Amino acid sequence: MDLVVQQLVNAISLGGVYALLALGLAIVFSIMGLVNFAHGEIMTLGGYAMWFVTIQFGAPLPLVFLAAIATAMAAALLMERIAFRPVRGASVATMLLTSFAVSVILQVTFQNVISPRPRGIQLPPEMSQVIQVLGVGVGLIQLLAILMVLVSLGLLTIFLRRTTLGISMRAAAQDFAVARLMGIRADAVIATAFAISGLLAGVAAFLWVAQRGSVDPAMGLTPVIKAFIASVMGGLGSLPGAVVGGFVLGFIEVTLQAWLPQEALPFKDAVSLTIVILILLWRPQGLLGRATDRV
Amino acid sequence: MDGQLRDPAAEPRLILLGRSFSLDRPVVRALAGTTALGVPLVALSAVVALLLGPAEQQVTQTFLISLIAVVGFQVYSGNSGIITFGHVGFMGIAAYAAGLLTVPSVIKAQALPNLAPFLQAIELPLLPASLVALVVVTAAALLFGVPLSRLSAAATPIATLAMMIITYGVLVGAADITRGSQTFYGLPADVDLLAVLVVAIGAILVARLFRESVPGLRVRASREDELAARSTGVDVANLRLGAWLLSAVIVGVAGILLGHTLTAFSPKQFYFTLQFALVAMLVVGGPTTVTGAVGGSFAVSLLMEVARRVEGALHGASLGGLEIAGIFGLQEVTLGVLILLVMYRRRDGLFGRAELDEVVLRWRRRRVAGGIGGTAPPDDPGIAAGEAT
Repeated sequence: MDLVVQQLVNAISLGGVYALLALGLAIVFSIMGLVNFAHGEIMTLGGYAMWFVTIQFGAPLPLVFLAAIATAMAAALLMERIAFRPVRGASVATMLLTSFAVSVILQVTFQNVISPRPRGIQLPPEMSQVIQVLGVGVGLIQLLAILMVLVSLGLLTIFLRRTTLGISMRAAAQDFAVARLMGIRADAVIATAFAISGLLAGVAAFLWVAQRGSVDPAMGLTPVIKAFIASVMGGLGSLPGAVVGGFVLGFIEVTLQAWLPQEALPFKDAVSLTIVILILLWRPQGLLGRATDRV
Repeated sequence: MDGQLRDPAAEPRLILLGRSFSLDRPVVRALAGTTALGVPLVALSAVVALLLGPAEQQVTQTFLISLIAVVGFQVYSGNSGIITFGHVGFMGIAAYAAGLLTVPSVIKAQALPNLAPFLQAIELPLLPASLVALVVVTAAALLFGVPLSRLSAAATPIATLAMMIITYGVLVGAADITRGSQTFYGLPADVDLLAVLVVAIGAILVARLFRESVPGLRVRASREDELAARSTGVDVANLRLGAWLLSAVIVGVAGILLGHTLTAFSPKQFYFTLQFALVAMLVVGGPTTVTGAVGGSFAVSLLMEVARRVEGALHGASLGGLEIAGIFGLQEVTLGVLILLVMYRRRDGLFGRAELDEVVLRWRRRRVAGGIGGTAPPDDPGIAAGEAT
């Protein structure tokens, strides 16, 4: 019973990180059709900001958290302004390739400017303690992750449903051209989409680094690829789909980690992604995606 | 009547061996295009083989192998307009599958002690081994292709990332037959520049024949407007699957050749870095044409070689008393900047949307038409159907 609860907590906390990243990708994709490959580097920059403030100033935990999200948001906004504005409105393939190139250039920049090797981050030791919840020992970081994911998703839902800007974003996600005709400003909506995706990537960076204790130039790559796949599984462009896809992928991975026999563990990623492809064979439009236009 | 109104010189014809062929016929167009691209490749290889050293020959051979891979990649991505990140997986599968059959039994006994006995004993020449490897690649392509072909054009590139990770994971995980992340070695170096050149020209011909064929035209129509193509009865999913299979086989051939050129490799060889280079080559040249794939592979290979030499020269060099510890990833940055430039300035790639033979043809027609009445005749039907934007 203990084991099941612990694995469930692990699944929710890992899936939550995927969900945050997938949601950031989905918001940008639904509004401007960009599959942002460089999302991982936004996350990596958040991680480096955490490293910088702890090494340089010995900043307390809340400040480390703020540094991660502020840097990630700034990085996302700058990226949109500098790299993606010239290709706005271009085909999906053009935007995808642009972000792919940006991602590689940033990774090499990190290698040369900072270090190709991982940089360790010392977080307060209380972070790694195990606490008793209803008689079951659960890691504090995992609980914090679940809490942060829930708070982020809750705040985002309120923003998208209650504020004018949020409602304009949902309108733009439905039909960008018509939304502009209704007087919604394209620049504001796109900048907000990037700011939100940066914010979510910053939270994800904090949780990821807090659990692993180091940051390296390729840190963002793996989780963001997983998030990509999660967002396709959930239904590309669907915001609830991205969240569901993230949690489902986290659940699949943790289950495989726990139940696969020892000799099959090297195949963990291959097996989990094969399951995802089987899900897509069953529902090509994704779990919550709309079917494509029919002729 | 019609014959008198039309100027005979305006109709494009190819005079060969005393016979005249209409250049409106797809097979003739494919042959003309292959010749136009093949001649410079033959000339380049001849110059390198006769005048330059073994290092340059090696670079040229690697370039031609990349060219085969990119031409294969173009068959799917160029014609369908869907960029993928999984093709490098087919190169890996093919290289390992062929290698398992060509590596001498003695080496296999030492390197792969846990190999199944029948694989241990088997030792085939390159050609039959390649055929078996291509059957394996086709099977893998079918397994991935069936679910992938049903996805939307935006979701497919992401799903092919999953495919790349799956093949990499399996190659690393199946340590009993691949040595896992350790180097797989002992492949005979049976591939030389001439063989690679012949295969490259063959790949160009196959890609051109597919591009000009009816299925090829239909896939290209789905690239320009998927809904319109479907509404005229084009079976987009199955045609994409067909292009995918053909593409996988050509890319697989490149994988076999690369494996037997390197003679030792690990799964990492067939992962992000190589895929990134392939994407850059296709996109920089212009994905919609085989000319673009060939020209892009040449331009990018040349640039990568220059970057590699600069990187080597800079290593340990000192600049104004400041020692440079070595620059990482100059090749990757070069490729990244190149892709960005093309995306910002020239989205159709350096070579645009017309094949080399089509460019020559248009130029000739315009001259002929300009000399007679000044009005250009309409472009030929193949171009009008495929290239309308």
